Amino acid sequence: MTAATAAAALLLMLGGAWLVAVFDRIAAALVARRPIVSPWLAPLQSGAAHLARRPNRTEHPDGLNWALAPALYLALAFVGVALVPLSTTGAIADLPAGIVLWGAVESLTVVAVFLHGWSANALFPLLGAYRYVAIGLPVMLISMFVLIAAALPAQSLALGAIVQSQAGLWNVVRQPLGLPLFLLLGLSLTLRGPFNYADSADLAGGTDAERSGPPRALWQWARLSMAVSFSAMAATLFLGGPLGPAWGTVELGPLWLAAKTAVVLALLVAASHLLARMPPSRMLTLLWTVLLPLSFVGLVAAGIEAAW
Amino acid sequence: MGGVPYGRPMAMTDADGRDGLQLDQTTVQIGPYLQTWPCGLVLELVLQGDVVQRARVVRPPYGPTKGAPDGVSNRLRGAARLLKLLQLDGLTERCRRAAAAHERHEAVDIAALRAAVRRSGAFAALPPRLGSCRLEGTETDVRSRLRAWLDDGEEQPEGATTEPKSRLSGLLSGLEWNEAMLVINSFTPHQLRGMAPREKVADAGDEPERKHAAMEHAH
Repeated sequence: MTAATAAAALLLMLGGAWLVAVFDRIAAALVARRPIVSPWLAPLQSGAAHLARRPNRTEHPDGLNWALAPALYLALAFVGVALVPLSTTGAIADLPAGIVLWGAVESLTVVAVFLHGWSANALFPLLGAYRYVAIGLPVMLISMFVLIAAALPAQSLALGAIVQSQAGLWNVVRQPLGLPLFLLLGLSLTLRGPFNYADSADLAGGTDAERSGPPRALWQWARLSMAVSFSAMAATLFLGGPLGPAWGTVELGPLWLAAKTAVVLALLVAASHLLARMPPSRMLTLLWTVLLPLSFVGLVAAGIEAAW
Repeated sequence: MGGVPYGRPMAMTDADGRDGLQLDQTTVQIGPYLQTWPCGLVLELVLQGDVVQRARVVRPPYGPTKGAPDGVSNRLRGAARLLKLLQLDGLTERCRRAAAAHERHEAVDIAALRAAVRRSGAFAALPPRLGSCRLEGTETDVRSRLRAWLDDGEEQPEGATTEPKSRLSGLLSGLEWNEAMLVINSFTPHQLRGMAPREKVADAGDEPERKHAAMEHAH
């Protein structure tokens, strides 16, 4: 790992989180049919406003876990982006089984969100926490099938090899079910729109309902960062990651990855503003009876295609 | 067993209506003000996890302050609350703006709003037969009530709406939290006042609560 790779990853995470917030403002204004007012500065202003407020305290919270949950969530987002090959020469953590560690990031995110809701010791956060676990589990199972399918053509669990396997044809074309199903995971990991079961309006903010001040800002930043981390991973698995034409002799890998990440981010933001959220029991039925079998069909198709 | 530590009834186990698991039961008062909630309504809910076992109306909601009780603007405000529960913030805003515009006697394109709501999948997201009860002589559920709110927008003559005979507390038993919130928010304040009269503790009538009430009497 060189210092330049680390700096590029940090830039991607910070710039990306800001970009998601900007996309969110623009999408909200477009859907509500009102003029877009200062989308570039508003996220920074609202973040600063949160930092200036005093943190709230509930009755008998599990203080340690309440403080650590947002930090864990944020750390998981950074672990995710450390696995992503930023250029064709490698990632910060170029592991032989990088995709398996990403699977662990997904499941530990469920733990982080649950702890955030549970440790507040209040009704709405607790309901959000339990509900998130119930929905998060089948969504994670779907993503496991999708990840295995993406690794099949490369015959490797290393993300670098998965990128190289897409030199001829991107996985988004080779496995048409993959990216749409993986986007469901993205919505669930970042508590957004149709998969926002943890921090939703019917629970007055859910796991975030009792939060104010700097911890709230940290939680929101972690959500935005996880969106970036997920999108960089989706771009790596399905859009060829840093692959793309060079400019003369200058390799443009990191720029290609950033551009593809931004495209996935835009899809994620659009889905979260345009689609209605079902009640949890209806969503559970849809997940277990339709989407999970569908992801298995996708895996079988990918296996046949890879063996061909 | 039980008691009222810190001024709240202690969580106790009770038979479960959903999956047979005996989970802790907790009694909470919700209202009178929440983001997605009829203004002024106070409910005492006996919850088991996220399932409402019993509901009791502590105080009925306020009546509408502006416009005809079941007129266009109040129906649009009702639709806005339901859309907020479906995480459709942009459409919520459009509904509220349309309600305000209608009160200023400006033209409102409800057909376009309804088309946008349909494109978001809001109607499909609502489970069929959720909160079904008879309203104006026809069988309705949350989905059909939302559809009616976003209908052509003709002003209904005041008093033409007959109130539903069902009681709100009866509709809520056995529902999961999000479904219960959808049902509560699928009536106009005017309709709710007819179906959510103040209920005494004994009305909800169940063993632990009677004990609780008796204990309060003894003090």
